Amino acid sequence: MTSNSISGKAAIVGIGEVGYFRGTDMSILQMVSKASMDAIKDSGLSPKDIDAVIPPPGFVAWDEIAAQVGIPEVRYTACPQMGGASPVAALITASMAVATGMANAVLVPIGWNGYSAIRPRPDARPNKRRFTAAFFETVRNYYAPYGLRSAPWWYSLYLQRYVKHYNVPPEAAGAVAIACRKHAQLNDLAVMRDRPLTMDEYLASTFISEPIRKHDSCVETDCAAAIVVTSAERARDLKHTPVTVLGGAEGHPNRPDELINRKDILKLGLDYAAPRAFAMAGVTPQDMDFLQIYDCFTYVALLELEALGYAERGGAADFVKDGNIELGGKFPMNTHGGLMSQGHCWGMNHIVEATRQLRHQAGRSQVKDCEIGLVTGYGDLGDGTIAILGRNG
Amino acid sequence: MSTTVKIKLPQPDDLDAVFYETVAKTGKLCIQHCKDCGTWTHPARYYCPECASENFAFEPVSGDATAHSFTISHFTVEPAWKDLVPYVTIVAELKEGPRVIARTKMKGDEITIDMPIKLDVEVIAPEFSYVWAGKAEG
Repeated sequence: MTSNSISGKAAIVGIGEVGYFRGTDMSILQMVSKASMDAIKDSGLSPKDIDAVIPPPGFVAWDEIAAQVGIPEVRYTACPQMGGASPVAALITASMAVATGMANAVLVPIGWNGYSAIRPRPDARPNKRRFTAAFFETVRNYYAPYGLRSAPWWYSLYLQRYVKHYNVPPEAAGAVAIACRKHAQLNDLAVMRDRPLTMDEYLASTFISEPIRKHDSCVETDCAAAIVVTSAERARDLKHTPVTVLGGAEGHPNRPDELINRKDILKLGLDYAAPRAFAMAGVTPQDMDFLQIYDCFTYVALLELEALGYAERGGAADFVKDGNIELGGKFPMNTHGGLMSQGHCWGMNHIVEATRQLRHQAGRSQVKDCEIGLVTGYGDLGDGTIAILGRNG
Repeated sequence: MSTTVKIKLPQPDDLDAVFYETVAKTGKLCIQHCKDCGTWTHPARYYCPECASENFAFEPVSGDATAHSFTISHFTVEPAWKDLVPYVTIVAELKEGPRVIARTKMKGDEITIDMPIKLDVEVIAPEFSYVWAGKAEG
């Protein structure tokens, strides 16, 4: 560990998770406030002990969150803007804040009406809260006029090259979908609980935009989750076994605001970030007891596994087969069901699950005696983040 | 097959507007070209990503390209595209370097990765034109 590293200096001490709904009467602010308060209470701290807020990249702002949960003095706030890579980026920023003494305890919440608001439903509460991203301008000018309106259409522009050039079989993506779905059967909060998935059902699912099938796509959900981060030193006196940040990094493709003009169209932000995070933590991919991989789409998760070093480019199919990524396998992945089958909480649910695992409070999904694991984030047009977390540090 | 789509036209600003206006005015696919180092850039940028020059012009390209990637959309929530599914969209890599998105009348099974294609434009309005990809001749 170098002197300017955050390794071992910060810990996750509180988690909150409101649930994963397909339609709810709760507003985003209400859900985010509840997740925040649950995380603060879980840590054993009070709102008066929190002095920093890192809000989501949209929907709700740091000041209203602070006001809703009653944080009297905010000393630090920042807002990573990288879609689904934001929660892990926020965890890293929170760790830097407590490692440097800029803040003592940081609240990091996220939430949205991903089911109700994006495509309004008759049975769901409408809301006017939105988020913006720089790449939306690229989308408006260059993608949307071509009938490429949202994520599956955009990402398929590069994923089809991945599939065709490297002969990636659909069964590889299916293995990710099925692992997530199996794990969701053990999770009371999972949207896809009681809805098992077979490979035949996966292969029979219809295409949205090739190579992405319906069953390659995560579930639209209304949800909120939050964590509290404090210094490793302070964490020792709190309620739960601290979950220590051993390494963390973010990375971005060049160019970050546009998808198709990258020299290597398949190189994700995580390709840049992962080696730095492993180096900071002083560990290797083989040391991980579990993997919580940002799984907006199965094929993106395959590319992330390759970026992490578990396979060569195009080779993730071998890594995910024969139950290797399922509970009981060597690298259980998305033990809560992931975005694919628990719900889409921008990957904050992955951080919450990693924390539960390392506290040894993951119930039927517990990876026995786990000591170390990783969480990834993927957002917007390929932003990548990674945190390597350990029990006790 | 009708290829007409009643879309909401984008309202580009900055260099994206200059790009589309130049295409509409010339009827040709024109791409930002650095006058100092010769790099072609798309979408256009105020500074050349290779040499940081701000000395550039939008100039016509050959239209010679390859199919770097593509997708076949079988599903859409947009009324404007519903009659056109499955529609094929190509990531076309120009001989000059940059990649652009292109519509095509080719079927998905006619396209292989990196196959040669020829690009053309269809001017829709001053603020928007489509790039179309067809089979390369010869």
